[in-house]
Amino acid sequence: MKHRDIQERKTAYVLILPGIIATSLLILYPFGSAIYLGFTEYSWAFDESPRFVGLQNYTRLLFDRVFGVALQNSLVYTFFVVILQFVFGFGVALCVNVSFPGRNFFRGLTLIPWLVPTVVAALIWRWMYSFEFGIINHFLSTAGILRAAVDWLGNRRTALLAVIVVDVWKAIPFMAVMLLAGLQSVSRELYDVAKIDGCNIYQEFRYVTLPSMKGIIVTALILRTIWTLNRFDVIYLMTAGGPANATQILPTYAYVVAFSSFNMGKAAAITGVLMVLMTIATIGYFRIAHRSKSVSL
Amino acid sequence: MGSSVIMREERRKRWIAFLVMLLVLLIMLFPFAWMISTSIKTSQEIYVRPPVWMPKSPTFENYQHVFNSTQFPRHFLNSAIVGIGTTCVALCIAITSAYSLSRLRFRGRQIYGVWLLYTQVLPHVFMLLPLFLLMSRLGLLNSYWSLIITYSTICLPFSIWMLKGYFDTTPPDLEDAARIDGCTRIQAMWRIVIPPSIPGIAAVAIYVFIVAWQEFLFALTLTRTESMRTVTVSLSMLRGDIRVLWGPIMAASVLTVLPVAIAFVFVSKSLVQGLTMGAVKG
Repeated sequence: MKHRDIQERKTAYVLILPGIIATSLLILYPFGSAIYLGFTEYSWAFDESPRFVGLQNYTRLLFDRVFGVALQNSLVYTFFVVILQFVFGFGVALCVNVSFPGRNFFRGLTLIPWLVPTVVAALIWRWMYSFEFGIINHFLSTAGILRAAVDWLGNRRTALLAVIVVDVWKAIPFMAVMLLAGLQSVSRELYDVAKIDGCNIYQEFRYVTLPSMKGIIVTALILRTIWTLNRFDVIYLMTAGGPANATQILPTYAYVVAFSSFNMGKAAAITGVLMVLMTIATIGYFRIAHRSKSVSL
Repeated sequence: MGSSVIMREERRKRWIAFLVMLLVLLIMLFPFAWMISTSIKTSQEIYVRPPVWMPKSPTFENYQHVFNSTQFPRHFLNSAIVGIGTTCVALCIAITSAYSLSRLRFRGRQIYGVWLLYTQVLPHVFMLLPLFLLMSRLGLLNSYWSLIITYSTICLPFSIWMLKGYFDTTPPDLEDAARIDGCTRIQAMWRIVIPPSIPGIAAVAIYVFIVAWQEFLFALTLTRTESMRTVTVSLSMLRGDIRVLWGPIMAASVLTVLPVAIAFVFVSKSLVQGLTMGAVKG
């Protein structure tokens, strides 16, 4: 029997080895390497190897004007994208949770924006935002909301708003699906009790739905904040950070620094800041979730 | 009396939900309708104000342009190769890993599981720079393998967790019986555990394919020459000389969405199958 146990363990390790190798080589190694690169000076097109320079990249970032803009944009962008998709996603989830004819059909169709490649979504929206022939300008001016056509992506005041709309649109389905799963796990009995106690719809939502869904809400918000902070393709494809850095966010800035200025060290430092932001956000959510739990107890 | 009030409220709730969803759906799907409609318009109908809703005589000239005057077909093929390659590699690794996580007890099992979950939240941009350097040092830059390896790794955590879920639902008794009859672990896995999990494996395969198909950031960075581009990068680089060629771009977009849409039809089917099978067994 003992022999068989050892055999068993051997098989287990052999079977799991490829997975471990893949994840360490392509996730663990890059992770450590990125942290190290942030402390080096390295123009990958010219230098042989990275040279350790300590905190220099980070201290230089403090005085980098574009970095400041990108940091601010990243925060604004992430905040609005996450909040808006949460609100709308919750609305959709609440609606789909009510049973009405054709509900499954609706549920399936709403998933489409999530499935479509981001590149395609970004291009469609760029075409719809088009200044001269865009359908959005046409809609808004026909509806009397706009007096003159707006160059949505080319105007410093509207560009960030325009890309936020696209990301929210793309992210609502996933959020709705996640929250729907949460809604369906709330026990029926709690609602019945609330009804007997004479709760109206709003109170029901506030005192039954929300507290029971806290876990899933926190998870959804954490995941979404992290993903949105890292979001690269929507902005890169729609505005490439422009006009005049109006939509420059940390990932796009890091990309430009790494592949147009060849400055790996600085780029790695920028992603390092990103990593710190994400850690803060994650801890923050857990704190809030924890605190509100102790209050309600 | 009270129950009729509740009934009325129920009915009103349904109507509101229905109408809101109708509106939401309209907003969610309009861009796609606009993409398709633009792709079959002539350029006279595209560059015009006010916009034309539906083309008077649908044309395929934009599609012809994509096929004849751009490298898009080549890039489409590249993406297919990368997508299929990634699916094969990721499945092989995920199946063995998921099997041992599901069935075998060994030290470090839990740590590995948690580590897999954690890798899900590591930002891609953060890994991009070292990965680029690593690939160029390995001489893999600008090759199918650089993308296949990268995408497989990205997909692994989710694939392993999903497959582990499927494997967990097959009762170990059958397998033990097979082992007593003289099957090895691998044989038992191959003959007993895998067949009933095929719907799950298919769903994971399609998930992996979709991820590989639509990825942009790594494809942009790890491919360096025109002939190695994937569809998504190709799309982003389709531009006109004088003005943006929206007709061909939308046509190429439709072509890019197509495989994902078809794959999704299969996924939803096999997912339903997997779920109902679980219910029958459960």
